[in-house]
Amino acid sequence: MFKKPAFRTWAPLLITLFLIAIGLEIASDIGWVNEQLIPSPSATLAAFTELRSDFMAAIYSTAGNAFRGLVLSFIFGTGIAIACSLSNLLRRAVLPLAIFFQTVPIIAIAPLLVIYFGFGDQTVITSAFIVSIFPIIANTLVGLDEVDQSQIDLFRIYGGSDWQILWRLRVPSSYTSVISGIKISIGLALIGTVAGEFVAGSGLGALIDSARTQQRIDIVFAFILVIKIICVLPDI
Amino acid sequence: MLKAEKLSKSYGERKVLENISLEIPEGNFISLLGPSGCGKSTLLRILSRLDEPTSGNVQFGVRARERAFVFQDPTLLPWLTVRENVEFPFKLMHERPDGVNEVLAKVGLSNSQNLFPYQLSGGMRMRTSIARALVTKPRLLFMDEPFSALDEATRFELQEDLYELWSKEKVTVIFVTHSISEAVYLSDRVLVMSPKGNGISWEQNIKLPQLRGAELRTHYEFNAHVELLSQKLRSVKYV
Repeated sequence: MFKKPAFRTWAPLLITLFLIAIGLEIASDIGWVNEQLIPSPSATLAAFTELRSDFMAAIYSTAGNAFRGLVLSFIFGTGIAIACSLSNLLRRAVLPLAIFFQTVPIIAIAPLLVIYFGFGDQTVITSAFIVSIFPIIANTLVGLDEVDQSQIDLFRIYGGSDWQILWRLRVPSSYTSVISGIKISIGLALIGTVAGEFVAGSGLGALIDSARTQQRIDIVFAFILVIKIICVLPDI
Repeated sequence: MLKAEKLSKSYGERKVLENISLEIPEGNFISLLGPSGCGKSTLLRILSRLDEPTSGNVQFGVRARERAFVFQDPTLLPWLTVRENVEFPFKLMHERPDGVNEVLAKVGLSNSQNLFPYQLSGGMRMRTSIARALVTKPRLLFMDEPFSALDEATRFELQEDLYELWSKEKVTVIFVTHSISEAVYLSDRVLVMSPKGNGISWEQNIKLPQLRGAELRTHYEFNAHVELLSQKLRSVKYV
């Protein structure tokens, strides 16, 4: 509702980042940090320019697959949440499974996905989907449940059906918590995508994996920077 | 108009209401008065058929469509404007909205009909809620401490407006409150509930001079009613 001036919001952070970059640059110049472990900002930038076209293609593929995973999570996540809000039996049957899924590390599942889906986008998207669906289910369900008894009574007094309570009360009430669920899931979908790419060999994940085997720390750092920027962008 | 026989309600072992019978004639304004936790809201929910009694029964002289309920909170839907909120009962009943302008004018919200609830004061929200209850032209109106969250000036203003609406429309009103002066100001008859929900401990018919506002509130007859009800409330508390 209130729009803060963008400059005032972002300036302190940008100045901090700038100072860290300058400090790191000077520290590597005079040999205080080992460039084999932490590359200087200029080396990171150089790595990015050197592999620019590879990076751009990888970003495109990673962001695209993360987005597809997220869309699937949204469709299935809200669907599951709505179904659970309608039936307590279903809630008890399904929700523990979703929590169980959430606790299994994606790195442990990713190799299985390669066996099921092969080396391709399907594996990557599935990996993004598995990691990002839970916050959407949980947040949507919280939003759907968060209605007052008196609001339900209002519907009941005028003979409102369960269906009307769902679409005219629960769904509109859940809007803000669904949005916050999606925000959490954006970051997770990217993590899932990169984890999938490590094993399936595509996008930024594959790029970082090959850089690692070549001991190209500068490329790994350039990669981390890019991923962070993609993660932060939707919040701006 | 409304007849309830031997109503009891319990949640598991806990008895909330026990053996309550009452009869409310058409056009009356009845207040249910009692300390917090005496079950008056539960009784109102049962009388309005929002809730089922554990035993006993409730009979209306009207169709279910001709009843309305005003809750303690305004319970407006925040994503709808004042006007859309007032029209909402028609949406739920799959009917065409009718008489919306008139009812908005009655509660003094014609100029605010396109505002959203967050843009309204507490009093205006409650007016919207009352307009929504009146728009379907109910013959039986249930009100559950509707003014308890408002400041005193707004509360007096709304009490007067409600009294005026009621004396014009002659709907039957069942009004729950814990404020003695509110009950005396509005009602034909006040029912005092005993603290454990086991019946109506005292009934008092209110006959007052034809005055309104501050003149009535400071009138000795008004104060005599308040004093007597206050005594009755205190005496049942320590039984």
